[in-house]
Amino acid sequence: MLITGSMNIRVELYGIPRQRAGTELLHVATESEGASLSQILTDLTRQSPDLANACFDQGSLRSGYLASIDGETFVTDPQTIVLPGQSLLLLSADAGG
Amino acid sequence: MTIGEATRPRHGNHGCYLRIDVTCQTSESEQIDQLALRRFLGGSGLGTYLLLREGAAEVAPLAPEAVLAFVFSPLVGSPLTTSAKFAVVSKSPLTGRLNDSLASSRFALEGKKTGHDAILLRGKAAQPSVLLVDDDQVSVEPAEDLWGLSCPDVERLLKERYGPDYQAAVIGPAGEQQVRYATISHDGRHAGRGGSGAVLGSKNIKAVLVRGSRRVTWSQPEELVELAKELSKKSFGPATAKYRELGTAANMLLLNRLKALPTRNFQQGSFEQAVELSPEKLSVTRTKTRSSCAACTIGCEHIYGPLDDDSKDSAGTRLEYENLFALGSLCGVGESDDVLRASRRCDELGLDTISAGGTIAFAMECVERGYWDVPWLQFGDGKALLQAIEWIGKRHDVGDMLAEGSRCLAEKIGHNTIQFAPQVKGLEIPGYEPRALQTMGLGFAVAARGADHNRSSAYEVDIAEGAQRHDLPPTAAAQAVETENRAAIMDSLILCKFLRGVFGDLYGEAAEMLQQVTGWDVDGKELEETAQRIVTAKKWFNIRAGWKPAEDTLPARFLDEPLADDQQAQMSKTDFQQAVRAYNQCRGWSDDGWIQTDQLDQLGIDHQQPTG
Repeated sequence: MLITGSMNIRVELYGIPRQRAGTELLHVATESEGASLSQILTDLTRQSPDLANACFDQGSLRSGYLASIDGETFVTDPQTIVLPGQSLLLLSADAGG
Repeated sequence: MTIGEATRPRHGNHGCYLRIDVTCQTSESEQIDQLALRRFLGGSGLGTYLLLREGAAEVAPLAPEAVLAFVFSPLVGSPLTTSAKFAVVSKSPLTGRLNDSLASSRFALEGKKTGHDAILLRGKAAQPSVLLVDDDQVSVEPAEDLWGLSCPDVERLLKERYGPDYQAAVIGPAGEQQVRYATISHDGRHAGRGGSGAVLGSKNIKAVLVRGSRRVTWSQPEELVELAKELSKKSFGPATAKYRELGTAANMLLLNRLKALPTRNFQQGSFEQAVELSPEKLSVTRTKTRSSCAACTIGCEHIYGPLDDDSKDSAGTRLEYENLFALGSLCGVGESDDVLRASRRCDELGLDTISAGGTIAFAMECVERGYWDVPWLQFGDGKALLQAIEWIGKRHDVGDMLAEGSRCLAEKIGHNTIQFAPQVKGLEIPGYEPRALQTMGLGFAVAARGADHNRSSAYEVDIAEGAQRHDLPPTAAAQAVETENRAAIMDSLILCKFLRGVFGDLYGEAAEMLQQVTGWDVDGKELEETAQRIVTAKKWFNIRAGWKPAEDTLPARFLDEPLADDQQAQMSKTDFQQAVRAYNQCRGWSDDGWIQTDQLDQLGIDHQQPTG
C-alpha cells in the first residue's frame, strides 16, 4: 500500500464504477498533504481488482471514465492532488440520457 | 467541396420523396436532387430542407395544410450499428417552431424500402383512418374502431389486420385529442418531443403503415461491411457500458450528487428519494430485461416489471432517465411503483414524458402557491400524478388545460407564473438543472426546437475535464455550437447518440461512412459545414415561422434565483445574455440571432418563397 496515515479520502462510485466495485463507497487513507489521483487509483486497485480492471489502466483512468473532486472540478490527470476530507467521485464520462 | 450536377443519386438514397394528400387520397413522387441530399443528408437535416421547400413554416401546425414528414437517411438499411432510425419533422403545435423527433427500428427500414427518402403527409382524412404505403401504392382506410386504443394495443391489432410485413407508426389517445405534446410510437419507442402525435391526430390518421420492396445499393459494399464490423466492435467497449448495463437511468444518482437533478419544478437540484428511483435500487427489487432497436449492438433499453397488479404476460415498463426525472423528482414523487406506472401510462397514451411531467410539476407549484385551485394536485402525490396523466391523455377536466403545456397553462393561470413555467419556446426543460450545468442552460435557450438536451448535448461540456459547470466561461458559446453541430450531424446521418463516445473524429469517420454508402467524395471538413447548414436551416425555418430574439432565453426563475439547495448554482442575467450573443456571433448571425441572406446563399439554403 503506497498510502499510509489516519486521514481519509472518501471515494464515491457512480454508474459502471459502482457496478464493478459492488459498493457505492470506498475510502483511501492518506497523509496530510493528500494523494495524487494515481496513488488513489493504485490503492483502489488493491481494494477492488474488478473496479480496476474495468476503469483503470496503469494508474490512470481508462477512456470513458472521469473523476470529480467534490462534484465541482472534473479531472483525469494522474498527478491531480486530492486532499484529506475531500470526496473523489468516479463516474462514467458520458452524461447523456 | 465538389458536388456534381444536380442529378439523382446512384447509391444510398432513392432521390425522391412521397407527398401524400390524405384529404384527396392522392400521392405523387417528388425528386430530391443529389445536391440537396448531400447538403442536408437525411433525418433532421433533410426533413428541415423538405419542410422549407414545402412552405410549412407559415402554416398553423394543426391545420389540414400542415406538413408532417417521416424522413429516413442514407445510412438506413446499411450494416452500420444503430442506423435503423427515422425522423418525424413538422412545425410543433407546442412551440410553433421546427420540431424534429427521432425514433428507431423497423419502421425506418421498411419505410425506406418503399422507395422514398421521406414520406410527407398533408390534408385531413374525412374520418378516423389509417394510411398504408406499399411501395408507390397509397391508401387511406377507415379505422374508426381503432380510435381510443393505446399505442401498444393499436400496433398489435394492426399487425393482426395487415400482417407482419407492415411496420406501423401510431398515435395513442393523446394524439387523437391533439394534446400538444403527444408522441408518435413505433414498437414501444417514441418520436417523443414537440407534439408530432397531435399533428398526425389532427389529420385523423391513427397510424401510418409502411411496406416496401426496394433496396438501395451501396457504393463500396465490402469496405462498408468491414467498417460496420469495426464500429460494432467498438460499440461493445467502455464508452457504451453505462447504457448497456444500467441504461440512461444511470444519470439519476450522479446528477443528484451534483445537485443538477431537477426537483419539485426546478426549485431544488437534489431529491431525497433519488435512490428509490435509481436503476441500482430498481434492479435489486424488480426483474429486469434488456432490449434493443433493430440493427443496434448497444442494447440500452432496460425493461422493469412486472408491477404488483400486472398480469403475468405484462411486457413490463421501459425506463429512461428522462421518465424517472420528469415523473419522479420533478413532481416530488419517490414511490417507484407510481413512477413506473406513470411512465408506462404515458407510453400507452402516447405522451411525451418530459412535457407531461414538466407541465404537471409546474401545475403542482401553482397549486402550492395558491395560484390555481386544484387542491388534489400536490407535489409528492403519486396517485395525483397518475390521475393528471390519465386526464391529460383524454383532455378530461383540468387535463384539458394541462394538455396545452406549461407555457400555455401559465398564460391561462396568470399571476406572472410564466416566470417559473419550466420551458423554452414552449418546450419543457429536460432533466439537467440549468443553474448547475450552465453551458447546457445556454444550449437549452438557443436550440431551435426549444429546451432540448438531444439537439444541444452541451452537458458534455459541463461534465468534462476542466469544466466550470457553475459558470459560463468565455469558451461556453463555441463549445455549445460544437456540441449542437455534432448532434445535427448524428441526427441527420442518422446514428444513435449513445455511439458518440466511440468516435475519435466524428466528422472524419462519418464522412468515411457516407463515402462507402453513397460514393460521395465527402470529407470531415465538408460535414462540419453541413452541420452549420442544418442548424442554420432550422433557425431559418423558425424565423419564417415568427421567431423573435426574446425567445432565446431561460425562464426568469433560472436567471433571478440561486438553486435553493446549492447557492453556487446561480446565473447572472447579464452574463447569460452575453453568452447568447456570443453564441450568435459564433454562428455568424447578428448579435440578436438574425441570419443574413448572404449567409443563407453561402450555405445553399434557399430563402425564396417555396414553390412546392
